[in-house]
Amino acid sequence: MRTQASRVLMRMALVAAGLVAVGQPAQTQGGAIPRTSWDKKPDLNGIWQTLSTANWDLEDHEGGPSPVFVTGAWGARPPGLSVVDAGTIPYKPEALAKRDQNRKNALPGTPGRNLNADPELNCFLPGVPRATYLPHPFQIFQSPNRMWMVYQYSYARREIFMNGKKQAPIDSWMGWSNARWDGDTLVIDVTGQNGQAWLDRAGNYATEAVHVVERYTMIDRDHIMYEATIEDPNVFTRPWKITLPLYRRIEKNMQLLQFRCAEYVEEFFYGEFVSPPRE
Amino acid sequence: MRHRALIAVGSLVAAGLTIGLGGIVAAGQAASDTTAFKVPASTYTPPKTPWGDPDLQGVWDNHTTVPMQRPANLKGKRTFTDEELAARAKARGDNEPLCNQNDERCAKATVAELDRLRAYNSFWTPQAYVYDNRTALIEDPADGRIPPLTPEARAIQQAHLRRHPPTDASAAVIEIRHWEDYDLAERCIAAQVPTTTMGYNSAQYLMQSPGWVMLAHERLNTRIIPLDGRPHLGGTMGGWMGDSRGRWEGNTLVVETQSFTNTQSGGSVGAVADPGIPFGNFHVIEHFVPVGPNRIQYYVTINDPKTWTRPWTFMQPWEKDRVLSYSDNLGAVETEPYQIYEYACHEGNNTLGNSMRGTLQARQREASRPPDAELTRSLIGKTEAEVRALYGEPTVIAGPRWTYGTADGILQFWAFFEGGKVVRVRPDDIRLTEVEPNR
Repeated sequence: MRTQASRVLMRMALVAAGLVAVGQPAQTQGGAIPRTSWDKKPDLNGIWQTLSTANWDLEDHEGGPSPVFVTGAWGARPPGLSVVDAGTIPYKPEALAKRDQNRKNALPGTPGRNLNADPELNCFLPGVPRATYLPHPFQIFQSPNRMWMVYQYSYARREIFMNGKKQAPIDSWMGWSNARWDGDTLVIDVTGQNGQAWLDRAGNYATEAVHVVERYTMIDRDHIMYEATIEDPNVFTRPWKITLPLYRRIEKNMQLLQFRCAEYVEEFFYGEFVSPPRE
Repeated sequence: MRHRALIAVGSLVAAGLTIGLGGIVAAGQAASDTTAFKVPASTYTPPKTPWGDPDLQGVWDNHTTVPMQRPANLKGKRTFTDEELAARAKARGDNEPLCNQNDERCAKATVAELDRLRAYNSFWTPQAYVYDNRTALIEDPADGRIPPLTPEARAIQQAHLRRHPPTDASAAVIEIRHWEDYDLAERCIAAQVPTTTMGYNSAQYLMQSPGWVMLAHERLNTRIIPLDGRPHLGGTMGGWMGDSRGRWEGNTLVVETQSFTNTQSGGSVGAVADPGIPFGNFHVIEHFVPVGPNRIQYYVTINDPKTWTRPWTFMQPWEKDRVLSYSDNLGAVETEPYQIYEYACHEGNNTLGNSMRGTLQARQREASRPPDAELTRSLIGKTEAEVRALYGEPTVIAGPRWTYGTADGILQFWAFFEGGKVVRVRPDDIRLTEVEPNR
């Protein structure tokens, strides 16, 4: 009963936010929420992926040409509607200027390891929540009192602490994840991020003060509604939230594959420093 | 005399017998090679997961000093006594990596010792090894040595080494021309599978979910292993870590891995194969054999007839959920349960670019090098007093190493003393006229 009610509520909220995408399956279509045999909580085990284009820009963005002309339509930007609940991100004025500067620096157009560029360009770790909506699948491993999330992108992964709150010993790219169940929703409190990751390719960002609260709510067997509330007094006037569905990758024999992008940027980083072999 | 002759005949007979039983045996192999190695069954029944698999979850450490191959001077000796182990641990203590300038051992070190000790402060490499009294990790062949390479593999390795000469830290000049002169781990791409001890951060988190095992190595690798009997990926789709499929045989987790990347750049830290050994055809079988609540015996068999003349197997003991203690150079000790931390390797990797740029600059300097007498190498043979007279008080003295820096802290050169005289200068090709004396 309660589940039913919360689904209806969620649906209403989504409709209100204009977020129910055309073609999204009816919420009963995917069947009942799977539950673990040991604690009857939602069973999040599986391989998940976004279909959104949030990684290009969390806010509304039109389709656009490739930033590198030789890649033609291969590198074109797919259009997408904002996944930010309020439409736009509530930046402080000076932080908005920095975001716009980031946007100019995102793709410098010259080779080399460039720390002003989008960290994704350098194959750096994506941080949270960006890891969730990269255009790559990720896998959740859930067992009694244990959880890991492993992302196909680079070597990104997170241990999710289910068993009591642990303090981040030091800042890191992927931060420190403490989780609890709020009814049927997995709530992960993420602190200790080093603030070097960006939120998308459009220069949206936060600092090392960022506090992210993620909510994973299964809405049927094959869909998780993912919400993340992002708070950072250095750059935002108030906390703000993104919402996007995650889809189960239901292909037969689905598995994460190798995407070790450190290898893919070597020519880009070091090509200009190669010495010829000695005679 | 007669006695000795009998012994010799006896071992020939034994060798002949085994060859007869086993069929084809390549030259140079030990007599016992021909019997297929059998991994022992588990001697412990772990608790079960709710879905009925043996539960091996936790942080497993495999930190060890036992070498893969049995050293020649220990031929025929399989294990050490506890007394021998204690003596070896003591000797190793003297070789602790330093070299904090405040460290007394560092100050007393000779030049040769400083070279060996310079790498890391001791907290990098906790001396908390998983107990193992063997002299080699290799269980099969019984001589504890990796079998000979096939001629085909040897040719591939030699070609690789010609393209990418090995970087030898003790060599006078290390020339890094290309990023591929570094191995996979140094390039922050992956560690080779199978992976052995890495010197530091050697543990892995073993996570299970229904139908899956996930192994998160603290350094680099995350291996995801389906248990549902699906077929292997084709070709080289498994990438650097290969494509793994697992199953339970009783309490033992068995994982088979193949479909590796066929690009030759092995030999990374913890790798079982040297640089240039082709590993695209590896068929790796791992047995995770529980032998106690906190102990696995991890057996790995590598089968690749294109590379080695026979399959071979090594074993490493793994220990679960260790509480480690760390001491810094001043002796403070902290303890904590082993926690897998983020290993953001590529993000901080300035090594590749800097060493390649260094090579470019060294070659430019070499092309327009003035006579030795005008360079810092001319300081070799000078006494402490002579160096002081030329350049003033060193910025830092760490044992035999004198550092001369600029006023704003940029390193100019290091002079290394032995017997009161300079024996080495680094860099040794700086123009003396460019050195800023410390006054």
